[in-house]
Amino acid sequence: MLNSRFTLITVLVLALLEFPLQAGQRRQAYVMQLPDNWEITGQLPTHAFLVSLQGLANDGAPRLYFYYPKGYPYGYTRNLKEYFEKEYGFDFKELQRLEDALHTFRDHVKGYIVWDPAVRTSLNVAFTVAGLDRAVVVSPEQIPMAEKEGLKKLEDFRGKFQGKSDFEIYTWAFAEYWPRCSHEFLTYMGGVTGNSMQPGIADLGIYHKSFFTDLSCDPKDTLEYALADKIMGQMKPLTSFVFGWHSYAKDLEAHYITLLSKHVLRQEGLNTWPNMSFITQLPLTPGFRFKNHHNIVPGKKYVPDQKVYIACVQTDGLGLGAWLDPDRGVFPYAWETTDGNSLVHAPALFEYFYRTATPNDYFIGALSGPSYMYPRAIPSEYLPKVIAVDRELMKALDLKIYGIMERSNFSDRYVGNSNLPKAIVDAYYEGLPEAIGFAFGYGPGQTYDVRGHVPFLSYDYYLSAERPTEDAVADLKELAVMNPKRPYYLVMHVRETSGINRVSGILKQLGPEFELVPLDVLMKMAGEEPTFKTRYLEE
Amino acid sequence: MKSRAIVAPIVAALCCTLLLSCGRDNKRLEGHWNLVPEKSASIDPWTSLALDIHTDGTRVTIVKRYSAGHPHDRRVDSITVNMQGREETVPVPPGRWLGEVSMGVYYGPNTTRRALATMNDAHNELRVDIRETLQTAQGAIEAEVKNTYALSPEGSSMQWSETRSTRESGPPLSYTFARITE
Repeated sequence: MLNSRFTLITVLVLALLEFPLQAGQRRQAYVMQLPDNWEITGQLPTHAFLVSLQGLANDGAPRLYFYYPKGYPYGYTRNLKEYFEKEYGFDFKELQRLEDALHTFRDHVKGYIVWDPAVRTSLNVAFTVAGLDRAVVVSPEQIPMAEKEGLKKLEDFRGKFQGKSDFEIYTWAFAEYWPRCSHEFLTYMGGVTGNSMQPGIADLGIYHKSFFTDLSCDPKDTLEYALADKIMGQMKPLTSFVFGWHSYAKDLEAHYITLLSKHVLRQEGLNTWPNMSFITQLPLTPGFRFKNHHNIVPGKKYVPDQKVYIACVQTDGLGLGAWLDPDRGVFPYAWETTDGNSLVHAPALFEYFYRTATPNDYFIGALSGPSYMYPRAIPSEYLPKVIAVDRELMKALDLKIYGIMERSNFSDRYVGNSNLPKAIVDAYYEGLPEAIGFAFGYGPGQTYDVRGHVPFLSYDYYLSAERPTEDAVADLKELAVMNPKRPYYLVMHVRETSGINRVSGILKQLGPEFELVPLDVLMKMAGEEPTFKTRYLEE
Repeated sequence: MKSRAIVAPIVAALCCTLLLSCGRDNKRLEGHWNLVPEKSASIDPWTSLALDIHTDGTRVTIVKRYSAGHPHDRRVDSITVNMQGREETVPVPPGRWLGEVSMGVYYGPNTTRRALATMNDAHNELRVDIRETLQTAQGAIEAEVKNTYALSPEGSSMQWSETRSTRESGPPLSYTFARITE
């Protein structure tokens, strides 16, 4: 109860915060374009230096913002900058060179740390020290630049970790730095691996003085798993956050989220989540209240026809995918308010999405817990508390439908049965009494229920970005054959990298038996006239 | 010189036998095959499919190995049946239906397939008709799947064609494989 209160209070405080500027008053900040290369032997040293500087420069106020290159997973950095200019009164001055950036923010920096390009993991240790000691992270070539500004060398990791395993390096770093790090935040600097790293979220980790790692969460990697488990075990459940993402080379998303869920830690990220030390300090604009585009008219009865009703939900959170697609808004689409869009850490970002939503954009809660968890991995005594936090977030964000995903049996994306047992379905019904529906799965699921006219539906089709249009059309028509009763309710989970125009092209070929409806309308009809079979995980 | 005169015909005979043997095996379906994606219907979300066909007396074993890159993203579907046209019941493990894993269709617990397979005398065409019970959002349904595995005349490629009673539209489910080993 205390934990859910924490979130509620945080949300209310954020909602009530007055933006400190008076009308007409402008605020100065700096912006810089980042290069489009993430290799250790390419431009990663530039990124590492700048993102560490950003974490320090933004301490106390939002001052430094980056444009990320075209094709970056979060494509909104230019749009957001314009939005902040307009809504928050920022005037951005553009910086061109690293030297200029360091000189501009020299007073925010106490020293520098040298990472070892020969040992990739040394960069994660350097990021940890950067937050603790207010130091920029430099490659050996960048040392003269730092010294020209009169910065002192605080650490030099060249050669220090040569020949050591990641487990050995992180064990040393844990002993050396963890006691000084915040235990409310941990940064997983995973994602791409090998010669590359995309440390977009490092500024937020540095800003919060977090420990950086990419330890494997696969139980088969016994040493790394044990250390990751130990670190997370020292964080406070439910109110602590893990920024970033797992390493694609070490483990699966399922391993990572399962371990976080076991410790009831709240995932925020990806590792590429940009400019967060800047954005996290922006409150909601005065008087703003989150208002979803509900399609249900109170008191109206929704009687389905003998049809196939289909609704689209985009996967993977708001900041990724098709939000900036010019075709957004031409037909009803639901969006998961998950992953890198925590209301706690990014209220201004949330406001941006709500303000730019069209009447056809409908937000739903996600994913299994605040941010992203797997309910079967959450200790049973915590599950009601987790859902209570979600209930408060759903109230704050004006959400009525909740998305749940489960993969803690480490099943792969395409084969395993990742359904929910009845007890967990019970917990969501009990904990979210205002919900008008639940959407379950990522790929298709097979957990179904209906209680008090509130349906619990699984995604019945996963539209990957690669599936040819004609095959996807045939798949959906085949599902309609395989589910012969009418109405048939078909919730389609659309991979975020699918363009809206492509989805539209598929929907147009489905024929007159199909009717595209907003998700809340589909849920309402499914609750009134269910034709699906109640199922749970058979354990 | 004399020994060379004796050995040479023996080696030649062995080579001929080997070539004949290879030629004969190359005209049969048995072997290890890999999907040729550019000549096949989409198998998305899988990225590769390997197929093994093995016969042992009157029985044929067909093993399909689907993969999506990551070691965790794979599935093996194996069936062994007589190839003399007698229907038999074979178990199938519970989990997502392999017809298209992006669809909400499952094999439930204790699911079986009724399979009827016939191989022609030349072993260059195999038909496998399967009837199975599938679980969908609305409950159990019966589906019939007709599979044909046909060798190309030169024996280096093979076509797997699938027709499903439930699939009424879309591109033909036809997959071309290249022979890897016999």
